[in-house]
Amino acid sequence: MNTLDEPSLAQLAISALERTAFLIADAADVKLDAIDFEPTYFSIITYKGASAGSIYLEADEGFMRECIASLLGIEEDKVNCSSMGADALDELANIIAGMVVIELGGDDHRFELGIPTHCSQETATHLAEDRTCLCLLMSENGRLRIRWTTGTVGAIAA
Amino acid sequence: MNCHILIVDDSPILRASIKKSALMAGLDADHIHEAGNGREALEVMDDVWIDLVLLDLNMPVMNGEEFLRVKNKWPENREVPVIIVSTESNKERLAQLAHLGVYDRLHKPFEPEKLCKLLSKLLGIHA
Repeated sequence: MNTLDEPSLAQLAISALERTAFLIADAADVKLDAIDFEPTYFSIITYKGASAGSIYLEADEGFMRECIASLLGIEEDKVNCSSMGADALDELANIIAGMVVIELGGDDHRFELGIPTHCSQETATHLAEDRTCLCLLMSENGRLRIRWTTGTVGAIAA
Repeated sequence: MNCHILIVDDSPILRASIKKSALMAGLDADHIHEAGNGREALEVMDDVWIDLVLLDLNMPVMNGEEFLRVKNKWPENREVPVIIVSTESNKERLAQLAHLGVYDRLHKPFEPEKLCKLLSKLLGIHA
């Protein structure tokens, strides 16, 4: 079974964004570049099987607006973030989690992904205490933070 | 182009994105149908003749695998080709799905152009 580090997690997410939405993002400094980061969209997806864990995403409105516009091929000012933002982040969580389990050995080991769900900031704080790997991506207009944790499915469900 | 396709995915935004690719491939907007899970998909297939199903696996209510098993019990729908559009990567599970009549699979994330080409090839349309 493989594992992930911050650069590899960031690279997976960058690749997912490029391939799904033609959205270009770069890895940023998790601490320095997150000082005034104010995420408004949250999503979590768990997986179980050969190992268990979760992917937790936090994004600000600028990032989600850019992501949705790229995904649908529309102008950013036409994006209704309040109606589409949460769904778009859920789908992104699903895609990144799918890539993570492949990286962990998903071709040969069986994993089962859960359904992505919106997540409150309180849960985000709780999960932060149990983080395994964290990365921050910057697009032109916003930021996305990704947290991968392992062995926490039971804790999350509780 | 008279082909009707059915996009089955619990994410409205992903359905919209797939629909965009289908339009690029030359399908008429009126011939692109959507369902949020397997059960809704079966309801659509009860009403409309579908030529191709683009199916997510990981969905609430009725997932993609359950949908395939029910669909295959209907003689009129058994032969309708299905393309899996999913994050699933496990060889064993994908082999099981192949036995349920899955024609091809598109792994998420995928380039819209790839879906467009696949639709053009399968439905014999030229964008």
